[in-house]
Amino acid sequence: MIALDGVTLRHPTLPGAPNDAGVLALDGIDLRVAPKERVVLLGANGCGKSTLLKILDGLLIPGAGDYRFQGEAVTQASLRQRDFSRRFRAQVALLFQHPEAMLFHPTVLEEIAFGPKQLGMEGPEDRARAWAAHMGLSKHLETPPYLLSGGEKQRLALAALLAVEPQLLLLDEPTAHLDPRATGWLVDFLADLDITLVVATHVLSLAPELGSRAIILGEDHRIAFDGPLEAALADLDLLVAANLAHTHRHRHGDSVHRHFHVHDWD
Amino acid sequence: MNRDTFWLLIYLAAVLAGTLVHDPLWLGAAWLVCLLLAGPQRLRLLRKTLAAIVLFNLTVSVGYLIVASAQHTFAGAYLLLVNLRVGWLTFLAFWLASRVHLPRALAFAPNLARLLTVAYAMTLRLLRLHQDHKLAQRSRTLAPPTLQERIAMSAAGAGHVLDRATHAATEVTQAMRSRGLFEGNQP
Repeated sequence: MIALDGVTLRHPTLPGAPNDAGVLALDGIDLRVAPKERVVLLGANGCGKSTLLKILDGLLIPGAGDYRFQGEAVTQASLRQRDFSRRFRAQVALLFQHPEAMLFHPTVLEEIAFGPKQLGMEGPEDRARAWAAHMGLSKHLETPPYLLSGGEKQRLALAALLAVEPQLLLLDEPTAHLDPRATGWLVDFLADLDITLVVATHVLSLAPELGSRAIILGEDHRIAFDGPLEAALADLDLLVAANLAHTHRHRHGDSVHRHFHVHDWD
Repeated sequence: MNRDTFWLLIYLAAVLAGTLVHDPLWLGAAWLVCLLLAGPQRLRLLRKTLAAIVLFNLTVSVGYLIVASAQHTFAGAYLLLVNLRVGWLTFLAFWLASRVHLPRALAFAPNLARLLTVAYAMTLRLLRLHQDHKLAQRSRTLAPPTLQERIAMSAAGAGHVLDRATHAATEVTQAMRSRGLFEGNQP
């Protein structure tokens, strides 16, 4: 479904920054993802997880390397072709780290119905009502999305994306702004989805709930690990090198010692 | 036409009519009618209006007073008319904002409604950020800051808000593109 070969991307630097060659975000990424696979993208802050998801969603075009989705090249030129763009947008959906960035309609109902209407799907409003009910948003149908709570915005953004029945769902730190109950709900919800998932997170405790394959991005912006999640979580040296675990000082009476620590996963 | 669009059109018609009235008496009467129609929220709206215009109207009035007196062209009725008109238009705007869901009022122009929704949501986010910035400054300041410190803090705050606004605008644009808004198929 997804094929990345030698993908490299540099973000342009802002005026005043010391390096005007651009900030390296991804370096030589090779990646294959099969249909219905569930991939957990792990890495410390700033290692390029969000950038990789935006490339997979066709929002950023790599400076070097190729991206193919279902065998078709995703490039600036192909995305300008209406047929391809329409097909691609119908199949690939990205949940942004800050879901409020995705909500731009006056009401919850219009927000969910937007995608189905755009794709000419039947009964967009009924579909929107059904998804709103599924996400527990029925009483907010006429509410402006910016008035919802953080968890509700997250559910609304998910409903808006899933209403078009995408084949590939990309999620950028989906639990970053959720309380424990909403996190539990989201994990259960994702477990029931029968589509391809790529989920970026640095919460190791959640990773086993989200997928079975791990891709770890190192701080050098290259893939440090690609394989079974269990193997990744068992390799403490790898986790420390990728800044997903750290050494931690402990004091017991008069003695002090250091050992590896993964705060949210033991 | 929905209820919100109807009130938006009434508002626009009232604004247009207000600019055609040049008699302070008639404008005063229009003020009175609006105050009566505004219902129980009239005092709150009036307070809000006066707070919003007092500085502007005072500056303009004093400026006019000085210039017109020097040129011996002072006209009290004109000064009254200007003040009444600015106040009336501001009152109408606040009244509209309190009664009408603006994005819904723009249902006939979906792109305009989306633009307004994004702008409003962004304003809320940046206001929250600005308030956090002010509270953070207060919590880290032992003594009242000097004027120089205030200026430096305000500049830093403005820079931060601008930086976040730029970042948020990029994110919103990407999210819109991700959901196919720019593919030319939008409903």
